[in-house]
Amino acid sequence: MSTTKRIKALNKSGSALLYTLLCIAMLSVITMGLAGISMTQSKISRDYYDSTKLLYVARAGMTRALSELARDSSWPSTSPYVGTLPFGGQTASYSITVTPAAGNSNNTYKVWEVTSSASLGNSNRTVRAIIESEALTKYVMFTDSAMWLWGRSETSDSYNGPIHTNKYFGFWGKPEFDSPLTSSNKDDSYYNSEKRKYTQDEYVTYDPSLFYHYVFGYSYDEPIASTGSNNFYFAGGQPEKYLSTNTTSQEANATYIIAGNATVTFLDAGGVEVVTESGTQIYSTDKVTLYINGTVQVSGTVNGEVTLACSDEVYITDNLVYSDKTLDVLAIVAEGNIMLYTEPEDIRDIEINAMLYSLNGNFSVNRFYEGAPRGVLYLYGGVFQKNQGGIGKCDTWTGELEHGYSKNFVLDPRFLSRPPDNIPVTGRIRIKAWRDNVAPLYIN
Amino acid sequence: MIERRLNNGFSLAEFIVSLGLFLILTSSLAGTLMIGMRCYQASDVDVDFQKSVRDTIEAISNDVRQAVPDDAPGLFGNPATGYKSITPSISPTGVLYPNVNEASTNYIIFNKPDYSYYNPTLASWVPLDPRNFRKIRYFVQNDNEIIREVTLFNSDGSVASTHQDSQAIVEEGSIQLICSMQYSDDMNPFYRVRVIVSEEEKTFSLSANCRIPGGDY
Repeated sequence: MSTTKRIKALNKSGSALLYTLLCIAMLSVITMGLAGISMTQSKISRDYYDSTKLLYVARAGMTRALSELARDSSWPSTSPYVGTLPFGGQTASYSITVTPAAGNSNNTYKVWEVTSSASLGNSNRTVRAIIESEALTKYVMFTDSAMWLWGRSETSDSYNGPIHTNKYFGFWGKPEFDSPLTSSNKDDSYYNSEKRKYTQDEYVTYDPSLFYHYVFGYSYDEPIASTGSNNFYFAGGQPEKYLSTNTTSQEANATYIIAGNATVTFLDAGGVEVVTESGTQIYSTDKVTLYINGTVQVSGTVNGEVTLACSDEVYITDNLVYSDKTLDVLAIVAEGNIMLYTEPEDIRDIEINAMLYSLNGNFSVNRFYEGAPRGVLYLYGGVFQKNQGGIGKCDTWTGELEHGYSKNFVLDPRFLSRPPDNIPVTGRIRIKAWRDNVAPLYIN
Repeated sequence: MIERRLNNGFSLAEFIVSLGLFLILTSSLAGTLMIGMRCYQASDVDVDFQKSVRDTIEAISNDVRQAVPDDAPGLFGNPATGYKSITPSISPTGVLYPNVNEASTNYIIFNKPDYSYYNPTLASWVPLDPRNFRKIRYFVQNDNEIIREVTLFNSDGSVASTHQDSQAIVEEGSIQLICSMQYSDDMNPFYRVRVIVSEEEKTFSLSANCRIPGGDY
């Protein structure tokens, strides 16, 4: 090639290179900018993804704690408990710390504070929960057997609080309620639990609000909301709640154990007087469990926090009230019946402030089917019984009270937040309070 | 030879043509790039917008899920601080509104433990102490701002303090909060929180269902 041609070729190469370099430079700047934005977005997404993953790992740790504590209330043997979890090709770990409440070891009702921390690489997230034994305190009336309720406009029976039966409800007329009613329909021949199907006479339904027994028909016999109440609903086919059959736990954890039959009188000034064959003794009522190996007659004014348990029957012989309804608490747990032992001639209203548990019997009134109407039985607490007991007897057609007491039962909701020691529990544990602190987020 | 070499260089016409071609090429490229960038920015704004709504709903629902029933009755003439203050009566619950009396509201009020006082693991814990709980209220202010209001109580049930924080704000547009109470199959209540944000011609709506772990007594 000659020198002239070589120079010409070089001139052409030079201009193309200039343009190419300019284009490459521009594209490079744009690409780097886009890559920067993309990387930032990618990092934000990854952080969010990791945080979400860690939340689920921490929750898995909490679920593990719930499962283990239901099985063994002293779990874990060494704290914190560390577990691992395969997660999207990586291995996440969680650390569980359990702090039991003071007094858990001698109480049927137990509380724990549980912390579950999850970590993955350099990231971590923590959730906390207060976990408790599920106490049987939710209902104003509960039976482990079928419960029949009559409804006539003239009747003055009143229930303020949820009602539950492990079997089924039977309704005659249209009883009114201002709180939810639920049934488990256990051993109910009309109920097919697998298909959640209810068959009564020619009626076939899948609607839980119709899972009850009627006398004449659904249009004649049904539970309805009382005037002004929005809180009522009826639902059958609900989970069964376990009612213990013995007081073994109460006896094992008792503060005081008394042998033989006893007459128990709560003293307004505080303390409780217990009279037995062997003499009279005053015991404290400051967060105590009193266990009596025999039958009990009880009355008085409660000043303190007491669980009164016994191996036999309990007779409430007169008013049994709190000195202060905001502070004082009484639970009565009997293996046998609990009876309001007043005579038919004793015409007056009676007030009972207590949560009553008849584990193998019922709560009833002495000779409730005799004499003139005695008055109103005011119960502030709840009734948990194996079988439905008689409180009064109404005229079948008019609904007017003929014998015994009409009922005014009001649930004491304090038992929900902090039940007294050694109250019957269902065997389940549940989350009482959930705590998950994440940074506050804002728009703009 | 020198004459031929000079003839091989750029003439003015060649330069103008090549420059013109370069400008056309780069301007069309830039135009395409600008359209791409605008699309990217628009979608980026949309994504940010949706993320903001999602963050807001997550923050509110996470807060609501920590609600716990407050049993404190009215003390010393002060009204009850929890569910007992509501008429007609409702079942014990951490979420006060919405409830069975008002199933849908444009605000939500609930009780959340104040862990300075709330500790059921302690024997000395007083369940009825009104200081155990803070009352939280989310509501919309001026149609464009979600406010989180926190009320603290004294031991006698009187109000100790109330303060408000902006939780979400839309500069040019509006925001709505819709809360409702519903029942699950096992008849336990849950709460649906819905946030609707409108900005310019865009509207995004997200909802979250909140079941209260401590609320289903």
